Amino acid sequence: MVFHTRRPRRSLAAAVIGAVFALAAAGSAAAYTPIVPAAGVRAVTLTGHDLTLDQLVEIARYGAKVQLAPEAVARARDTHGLLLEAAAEGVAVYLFNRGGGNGRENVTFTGDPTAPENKARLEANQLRAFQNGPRAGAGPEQEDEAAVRAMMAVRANTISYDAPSPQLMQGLVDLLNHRITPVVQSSTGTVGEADIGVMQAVGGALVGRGEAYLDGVRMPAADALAKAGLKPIQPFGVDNIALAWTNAYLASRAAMLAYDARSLLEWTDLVYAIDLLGMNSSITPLAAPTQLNRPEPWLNWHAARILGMLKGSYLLEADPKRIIQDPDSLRASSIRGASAWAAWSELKDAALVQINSSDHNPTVRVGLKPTDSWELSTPQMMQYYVKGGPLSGGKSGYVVSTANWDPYPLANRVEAFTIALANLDVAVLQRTFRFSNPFHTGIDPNTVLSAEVRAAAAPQGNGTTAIAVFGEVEAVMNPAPPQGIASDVQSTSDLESNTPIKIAKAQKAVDYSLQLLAHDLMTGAWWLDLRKAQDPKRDLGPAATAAWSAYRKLSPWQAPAAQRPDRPAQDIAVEFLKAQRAAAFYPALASLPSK
Amino acid sequence: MHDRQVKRCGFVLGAVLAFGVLAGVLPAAAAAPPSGYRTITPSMAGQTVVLTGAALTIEQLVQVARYGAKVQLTAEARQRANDHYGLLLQATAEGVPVYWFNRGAGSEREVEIFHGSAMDPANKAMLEKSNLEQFRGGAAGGFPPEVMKEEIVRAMMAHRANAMTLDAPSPQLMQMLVDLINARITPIVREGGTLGEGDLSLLGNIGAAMVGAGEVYYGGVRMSAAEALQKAGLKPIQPFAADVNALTSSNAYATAKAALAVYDAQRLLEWADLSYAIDILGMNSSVTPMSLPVQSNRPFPWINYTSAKVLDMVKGSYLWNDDPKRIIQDPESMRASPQRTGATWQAWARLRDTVTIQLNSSDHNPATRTELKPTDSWQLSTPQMMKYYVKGGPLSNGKSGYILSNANWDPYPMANDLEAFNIALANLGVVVAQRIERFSNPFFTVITPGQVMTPAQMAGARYGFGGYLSADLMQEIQANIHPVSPEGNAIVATVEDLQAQTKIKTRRTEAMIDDMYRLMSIDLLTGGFWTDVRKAQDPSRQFGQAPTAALAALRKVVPTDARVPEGKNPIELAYDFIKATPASTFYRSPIAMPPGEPTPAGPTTTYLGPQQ
Repeated sequence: MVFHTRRPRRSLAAAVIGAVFALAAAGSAAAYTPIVPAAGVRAVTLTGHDLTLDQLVEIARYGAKVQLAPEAVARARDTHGLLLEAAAEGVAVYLFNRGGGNGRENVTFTGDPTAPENKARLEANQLRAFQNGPRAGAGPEQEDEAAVRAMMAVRANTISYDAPSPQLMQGLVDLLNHRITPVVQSSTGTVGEADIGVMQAVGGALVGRGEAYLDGVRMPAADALAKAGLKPIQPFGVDNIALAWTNAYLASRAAMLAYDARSLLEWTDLVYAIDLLGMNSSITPLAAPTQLNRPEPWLNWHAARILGMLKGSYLLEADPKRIIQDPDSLRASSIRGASAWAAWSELKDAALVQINSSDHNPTVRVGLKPTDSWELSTPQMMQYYVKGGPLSGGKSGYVVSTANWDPYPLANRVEAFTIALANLDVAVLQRTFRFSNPFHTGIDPNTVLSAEVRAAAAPQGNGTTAIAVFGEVEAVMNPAPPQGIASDVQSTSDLESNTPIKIAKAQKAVDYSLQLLAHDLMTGAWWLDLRKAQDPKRDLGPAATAAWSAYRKLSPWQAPAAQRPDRPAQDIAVEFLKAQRAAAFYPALASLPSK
Repeated sequence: MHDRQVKRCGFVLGAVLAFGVLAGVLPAAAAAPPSGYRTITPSMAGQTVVLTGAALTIEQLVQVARYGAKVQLTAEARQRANDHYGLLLQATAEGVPVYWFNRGAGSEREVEIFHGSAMDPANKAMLEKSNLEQFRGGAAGGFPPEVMKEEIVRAMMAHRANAMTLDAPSPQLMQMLVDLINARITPIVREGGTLGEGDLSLLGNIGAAMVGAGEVYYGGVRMSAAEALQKAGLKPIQPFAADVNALTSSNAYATAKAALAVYDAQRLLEWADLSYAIDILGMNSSVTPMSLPVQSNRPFPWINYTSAKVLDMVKGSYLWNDDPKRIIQDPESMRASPQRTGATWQAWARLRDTVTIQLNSSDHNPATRTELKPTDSWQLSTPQMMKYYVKGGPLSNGKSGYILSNANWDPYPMANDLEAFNIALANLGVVVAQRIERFSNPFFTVITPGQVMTPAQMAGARYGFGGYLSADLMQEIQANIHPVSPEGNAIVATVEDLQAQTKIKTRRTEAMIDDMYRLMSIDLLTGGFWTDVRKAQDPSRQFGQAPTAALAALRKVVPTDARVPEGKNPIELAYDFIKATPASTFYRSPIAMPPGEPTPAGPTTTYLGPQQ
């Protein structure tokens, strides 16, 4: 599931040749995973400030189309106009009429950018930069179409802040809506502080260079545009910067991570409830008196949620054989789960801000006046004030250098979530083992189930495999070392956030955690069958009953071994967990806390 | 019969407390005490912090722990504890099973320790004997090393005195905890053996002092606990009921250390902001990354907060004047510092909030709660819950309630928040380490010091503070950012199969904060030197009120010329300076901190609203 086959890398020489000659016949990625567009998915309106995780996934994974809100179109028009006007007024603009990086003080052109000479030069420069896009970045190719679509969707949502030309913004929308998904490299080459190389490959497709997938079929980008009835754009202004100086790749991956992690945690909650029912647990740790003594909001919320899943079940009935308290791992699972939700909430909030704001340099802000804040009227800030003129439709504003490309606090939140998840997983792992001990279960299965029934029973989780999976989680929970490698000759670029590494580790932790949970489900479900065999009148509550019944359709409680699939039972459980959201089994408790 | 029961009752604690002796690890009583114990300076001994059980702040905890303030329980807190104590006794009279009281602990959870009322003469005698033996046994509990900071042990006791009112201590136990704090009797505590959830043996060390066993520091002088109690005019207590449990079943050590770390970290971050302001003044930076247009485009509240604060610090400075030689933008580390500091403030706020809840809540097992009735929530009237309902009677003054086994000892989310803070701090550390180095390159500073300073100024000036030491500190920080691998050693007959390792996590946080203070002192010296350069470049330049005041104070201990005392390292002097002098001495921010992280609805609405 995690390790899938990669297309063999082409040699460097072949890569160079391929770049230079734009080989139309270049081999496609063998493991490319195209999306499967879903019917009936509504178009998502991009405003620049309210894109949700669900909407992003609908665009990325299910092919939803996008449309730009009028306010976004107006904002892009205004910021683009202000940028042009700034240069015309002689305001120094980083990465436009001034150079980038170490060339930050170099004048690249003077005067009105729309004056014929400047305009021709800018157009030529921009087109060249876009045409170079397919050569940017480093392999391997990103083989997940959804990941590329998510990145483009995020950029389409936020680019209106960053002075794109109208044709650039529309071009991004067109690619998404015609399902033209450029071939991009998965390594940014920029260590998580602006995903320049990845986004530039998208720029290549916009001008008909490089390769792209049209409806999942690989072809030259020029062909894809032609088949879709689109024309290559002519970029202008700072379009190369507007498109590529962003963390859209990592932001979208973090947002998708948050989405997947929510599904994982929802399942973890329900499987925990199944475990409690399988253990015939005492639910006192979740009860009001206990929770009132420890008023931590996430703990209280989570305990109430799990208790709600158990409402109506036999655990609320009297049972003289029920033990006064479970082993630590069963009892504390709610606390670890709640803490993972708390970390998830912070990750989700950071990702949402990231996919709905500008992480671009420079900042272009229309409408602010010198009187809006004390600093804006100072001589230092007035250097970057654009009074407004014909190119900006008379609008004024500021164009200033920033550090918004530094993807914090998101980078920290990704790692904090990974740690919280690992600290939840150890409880999941441990509790699966406690079922093997009648000291905790209160009953020996042999006293309830006949040898024949046990022989035909569905498998419980595999302890060795579960330990191995947890070991994988532990292996990815360490943070990436904070780096400050002053990489250029003058040391202007002296920070790296390594966020792609952080997200990749977190995503692996989520994937492995789901595998671990599959073992937990196998064991918990087995014990539900046993508890029912012990006393058929027992009620397991609607949520657990529904999930257990659904799982048993894939992995029957009783079946001769020869009739079970010739594949690992864990895989069946993983597929079950992936096939539907757990929240579907507990709709009344599904809503998550809101701010 | 009773002897056997006594042994069972004390199984878990006894195992934890006595293992050190059995293993022959502990030093003999006559062994020389370790040197280097750091006593407090009781500058606030004349003040009293009121403990309600619900409102202890981190600042108040520090007043008690670090500066010797006394504590006083409110009548409400005493009443609550007394009610819980009464409910505990009444539960036994009603035959309600209570974990770690009339039932055993750990793997003995289903073993009946005694039957009937705890106040029946035979039970009473057994419980008194059992409690006293276990309190005395606490002196041998734990492993070296000893906790070498008096403030940590006082913080443990102050937190426990506050939160214990949510549990069911005897009146004498609760009073003795207060008395020890107020008499400044600080027991010897050994930190080895705690797994970071349930600091049993450490609190057992404190329990020993209450019955006159073991050793303590009295007013900072080491002596036997019996002697200290006598000198202070205190009598050893006779613990009763579930006092062993009431005292020791808590994460007081981890919480105390985390609280002190939060306090120190706030002051570190305040210096990080002020030192950064001095750096941008030294660099002649462009302040545009912190200005409103930029911040409006990226609405992260804590980054907006930090940016606004630093801008306010340099208000009125020359950075706002026109300067044709000012570069359009700084190197990344200089520009992105507010991002990293803001993100660290955010992680700090989350940790602050978690620790504050931990200080004011029960992490005890079992949970005791009076005043709740079966009709208060759907769950409470179920047969399973009614098993643990105490109807009320003479021993509880007629009050009813519930006593429940739980998992509140699992110190999460605090354990995660400590590690999240460590990561944020390290990601701040790297920008500080980098920006120090950028001052050595005229590509950024535009000038060299020699171009604007006189030979006399240059001869005496100290600059170039970075290099080896800052790189070394950054490596130390890197070594501490890694989370502790989650453990699940199934011990105590596999009942206890989780650990939280908060001892190690807090230790790493403490080390990292200290290394960051050192790194910050290098940063401050570097920025300070460069403000001198900028002043030499143009004497009319202003540097803003707060940076000017901070640098003037710094210059008294680290002069600009060669008058640094012989044999003193200016970085050490700067370190001592910022540790002793809060940045708030020079700058009081008018900008309010953002609210804490969004949280779901609290327990009141979750549990006690309309019947669910």
